[in-house]
Amino acid sequence: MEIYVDLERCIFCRACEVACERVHGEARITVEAVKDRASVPVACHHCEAAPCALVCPSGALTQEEAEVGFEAGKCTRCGLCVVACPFGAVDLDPASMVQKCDLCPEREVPPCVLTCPTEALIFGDRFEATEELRRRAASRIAQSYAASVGRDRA
Amino acid sequence: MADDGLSPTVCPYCALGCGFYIRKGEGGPGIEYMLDHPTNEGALCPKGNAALEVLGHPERLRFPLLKAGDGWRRISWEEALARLAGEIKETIRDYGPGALGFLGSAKCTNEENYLFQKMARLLGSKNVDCCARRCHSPTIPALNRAFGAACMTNPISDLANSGCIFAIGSNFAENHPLVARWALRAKDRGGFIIVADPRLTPTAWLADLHLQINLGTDVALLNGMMNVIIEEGLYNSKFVEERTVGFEELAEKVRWYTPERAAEITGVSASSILRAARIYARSPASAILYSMGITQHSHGTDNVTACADLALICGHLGRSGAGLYPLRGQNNVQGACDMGVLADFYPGSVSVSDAEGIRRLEVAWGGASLPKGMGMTAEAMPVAAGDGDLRLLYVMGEDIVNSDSASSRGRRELANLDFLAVQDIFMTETAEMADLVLPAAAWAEKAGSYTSSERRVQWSPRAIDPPGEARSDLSTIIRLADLLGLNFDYSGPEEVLAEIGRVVKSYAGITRERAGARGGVIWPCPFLDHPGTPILHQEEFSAPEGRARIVPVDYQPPAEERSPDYPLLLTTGRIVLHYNAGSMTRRSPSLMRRAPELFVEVNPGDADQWGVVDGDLVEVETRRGEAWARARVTTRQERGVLFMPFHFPETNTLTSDVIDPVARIPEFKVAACRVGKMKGV
Amino acid sequence: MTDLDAKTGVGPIHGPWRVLLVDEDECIGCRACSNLWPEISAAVGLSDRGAKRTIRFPRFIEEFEARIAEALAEACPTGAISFGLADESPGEESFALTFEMARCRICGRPFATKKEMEYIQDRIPAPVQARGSAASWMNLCTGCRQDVGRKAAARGLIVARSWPRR
Repeated sequence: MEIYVDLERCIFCRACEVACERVHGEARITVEAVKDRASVPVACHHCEAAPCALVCPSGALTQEEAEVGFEAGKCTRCGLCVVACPFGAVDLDPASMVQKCDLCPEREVPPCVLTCPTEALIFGDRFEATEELRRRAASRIAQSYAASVGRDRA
Repeated sequence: MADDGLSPTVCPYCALGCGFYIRKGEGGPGIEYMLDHPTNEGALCPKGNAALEVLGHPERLRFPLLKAGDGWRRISWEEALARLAGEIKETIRDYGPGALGFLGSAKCTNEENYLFQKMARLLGSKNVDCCARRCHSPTIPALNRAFGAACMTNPISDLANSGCIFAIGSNFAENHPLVARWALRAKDRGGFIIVADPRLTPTAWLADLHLQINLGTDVALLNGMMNVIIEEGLYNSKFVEERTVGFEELAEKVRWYTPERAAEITGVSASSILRAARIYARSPASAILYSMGITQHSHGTDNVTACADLALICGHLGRSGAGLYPLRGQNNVQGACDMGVLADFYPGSVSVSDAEGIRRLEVAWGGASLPKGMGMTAEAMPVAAGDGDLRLLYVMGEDIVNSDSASSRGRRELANLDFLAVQDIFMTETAEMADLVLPAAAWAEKAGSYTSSERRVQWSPRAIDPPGEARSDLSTIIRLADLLGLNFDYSGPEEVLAEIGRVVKSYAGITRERAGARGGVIWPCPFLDHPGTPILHQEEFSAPEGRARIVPVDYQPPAEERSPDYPLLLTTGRIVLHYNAGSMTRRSPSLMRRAPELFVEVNPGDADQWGVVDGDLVEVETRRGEAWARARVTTRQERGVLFMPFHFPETNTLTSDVIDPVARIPEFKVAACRVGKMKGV
Repeated sequence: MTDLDAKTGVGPIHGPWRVLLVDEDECIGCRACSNLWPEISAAVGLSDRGAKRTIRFPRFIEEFEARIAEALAEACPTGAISFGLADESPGEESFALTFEMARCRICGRPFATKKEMEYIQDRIPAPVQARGSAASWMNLCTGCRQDVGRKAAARGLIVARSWPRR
């Protein structure tokens, strides 16, 4: 399972950040704008061969089937996972504790996904999520009525 | 409170009326998402997510306070209300009720606003108004004249059914994020989004066509579009013939506004204007969204009129996907207006010059005679205070000192009042100036109904207790009214809602139970079994003969323009992380962490010319004052335009106080300015 | 027993001395021990000759800190930390190890020691090192990795949204 992002829909409102922070104390998703033209949220990708889990010396980060788990109790705060993550998605909070998206196992759907005003965050496995993205794009193209409205004077 | 400890509530921030649950827990209240709410489907913007941060805030007002020298003295409620009642009576005795001013709150409940204006008018004062004056006041006369009803015509979710969504003067992605949800659903189904805005905002990111118009040139754009639509025969002749009057005059007027001339004025290419016009007109159902970019101008009423004209000639009204959406600001500004907290209206849109309507109210309110004629507006009250005509002002839930334009002048004027009483949840800058401060309960700490921009009336029950001795505005008004001999005998807000139903026709079928159901009721709801009216004007308009009025207007430039001394134009607006004057959001840690300070957006070319470096503190100056702000060099706006959010008090010290002659709204959106390094540093 | 007081003036007077031992070859300069025990400081110093992390360890471990010593040994990724009992008093209050730091190739911020980088490179398969959201993500700091990733993801969108708007 993962949280996929439909970038065309992200409006840089950062509701996901505020919701994550509300629930966890620190936000594990960060949103920033690029060139004032687009907005991109970044969170743990729950890789299939996660570098963070490969380097974690204490077994706090573990490779599960569809996600990367984190057990704070085992974390030694060595900071190696931060250096290992290719996406910069793991960071340490002011107490040097690892903060990484854990897909909110105690909830059915993560709050960031539920709260996103524009449905830019999709929660599902790779097939479900990309299917939704494809569906949206195809639907737009197929039903575009404006394509039939020409530019020339009538 | 429901069995599972979840209290349903309506978000206290903007006017979309999103629903969520307050979960009572041991560590303090929490939020649960309301997945089945018809407007937001559980989603919340960052402000909604942070809404609980104001509830237990240490700076909450807890006790009545009386000004004592430079500080405050805590007094009892008895003393406070006796003092306020005494001051009111004295003012009436010495100067007459015309020297009393009452500013209601677009954040308080319908019941509170209803009783607030009832009290004021029973005392004989016409001077009742609220912050709608600064916001959608042009919408009211313009749409009343056009449709006979001044409100959003379709529900927000209905936007998903539009083939074309035209947002003009609305940055809905930042200011009404849930609108973006439905607009994007429309886009998924092939809908086309047109955005007209001088800035390239996140809303413009979503657009298929962005018209980056010059500040204040909306009428030229709209007239240009209507020129094309009429020229090319794209207007809905059947609709025009059967349901409107005034088409011929409009056709005559817009003849001058060829795409080339409109392009010259707006700075948008003629081909873009052509394209926008054709797409809007030819889509099966088109929606127009507008907000402060249209209203906060010295010609705001004309702007709204032109929007209505465009919708009317194309017949894009009265059915699903086709509508006109004035996106309102406050969680209950629609309700406050419905309840008549306006200088020109009694409850139920009864004009203050409607003798028959007022007579009916007199009967309903026990026979006392009620004042007729226009009272002082929210903008006029400070001026009148400065002149000595207004002697006592009672402000309920608004930080007027910071939301006034040219606010430094307002501060000086308010200081001239004999007595200023402020009822609020925090010691705002307006409260700082008061003689008496009354602590109020926040939205989650009291029960009542709120009417969203969609005309959706929803009941929000009390979830938690207010801090200290803070009380609901309802209970304060009732006690005060009793001391003033007005005999307000209500057992609670439910009883007030019942009276509202008897007095306001469109609320007649709305009871506490119906308002408390998921999604409440959308007015008009004229009787008990009526399901509510999501889409207006389906059969006919509320104007004479059921026909809408098409009114031609001419383009007029904004009041201030660039000059050698002030070579740039400052426009103001909102950002997603903050809300209005900021009294709530600037006290919310998770929002302040992300947007801590005032900034000014400057185009790179302007930055180079005026020595502005990204990240530096710079000085922005207008004819009314100067302010420091953090510079953000960005290509969001073109050269010659600066942007500042008004959530920080300094911004409104700069804005213009030239007002629209009809609606009396100041031109917040355009001020001639200059920018540079800070002087004297 | 050696008369320490007379010789060096540091540490407890009477031995045997419980001391912290760090294997210089094994230590990679991570932050596990300094985050666990505030007595250990891991400061980053910048000079013309580059960026260095200096980890300063206290030499002596008092009786009541014995449990901490065990935790330190366990937390250390490479087992570089141990503790022992010395018959001769070490002549120092503390000792330091320095590590050369890798700097982010975009912003220049020192973000990891070179030995940490080696430790990670040893454990991440080569294909993963070569990919990720950027060509050579390994020598970027966290912030720049996010930035590069964002720019790459948004590239098409930015082009689409930057069309002339007049």
